[in-house]
Amino acid sequence: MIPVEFSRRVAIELLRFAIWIAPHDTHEWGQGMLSELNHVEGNWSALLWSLGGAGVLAKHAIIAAIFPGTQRRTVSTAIALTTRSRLRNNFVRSRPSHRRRSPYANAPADQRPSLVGAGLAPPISAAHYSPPTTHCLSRASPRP
Amino acid sequence: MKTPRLSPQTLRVLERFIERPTAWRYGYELSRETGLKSGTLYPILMRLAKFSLLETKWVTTEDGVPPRHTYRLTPSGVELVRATFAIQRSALRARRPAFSGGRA
Repeated sequence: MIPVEFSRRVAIELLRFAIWIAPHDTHEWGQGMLSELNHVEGNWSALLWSLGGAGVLAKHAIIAAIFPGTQRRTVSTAIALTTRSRLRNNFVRSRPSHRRRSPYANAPADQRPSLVGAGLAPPISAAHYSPPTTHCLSRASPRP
Repeated sequence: MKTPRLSPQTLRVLERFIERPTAWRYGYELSRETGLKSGTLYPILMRLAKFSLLETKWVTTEDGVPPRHTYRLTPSGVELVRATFAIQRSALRARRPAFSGGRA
């Protein structure tokens, strides 16, 4: 048998957790929801109140995680932006001119620019350097 | 001045606020009066506060009970709500047929 007070305790803990994960600018609102919880009549109503509030705060937390600088966006805007950027990336990647091979593709892994820049590997030798190709259709072996 | 999107739920909340524009209202009280759940009510309140149409304040009610968050329309909020409802009323009047309410 579930104790009567259990659902209210769950409601309080749920809202506290939501406040903990929520971005800083929504903490005041979360505390407001939590303080109202003391005045909600009925334990199950309190749990429903808490679920609704926690959902709002969680939404803000997710948006803040996806767009760190833009915590005020709505979910619909976030979804629209994500979809748009995905579509654009897929389109750009599918274009042949963007499927270039790295000029350092033939170089040994320890001589790639990232390691050279960090001073961990000697500079790349001319023997390993291949000029950039215009598209991805270049083959390892030349056409007969 | 930028204004938020006035959904039917937002209008319902604003209607409650404009009944007593100077009174501070509690979240749970608003939820009961409008019939909106906390998941719907709080985003509306947050949006109104973001547009500076709503001001918030913490009030201590009883000893041992945590302070409560209260809300009230700002003067610009009251102005916007009155203008919005005036427009709605005039639109409703314009839509009403000319012969309705006429005398025989």
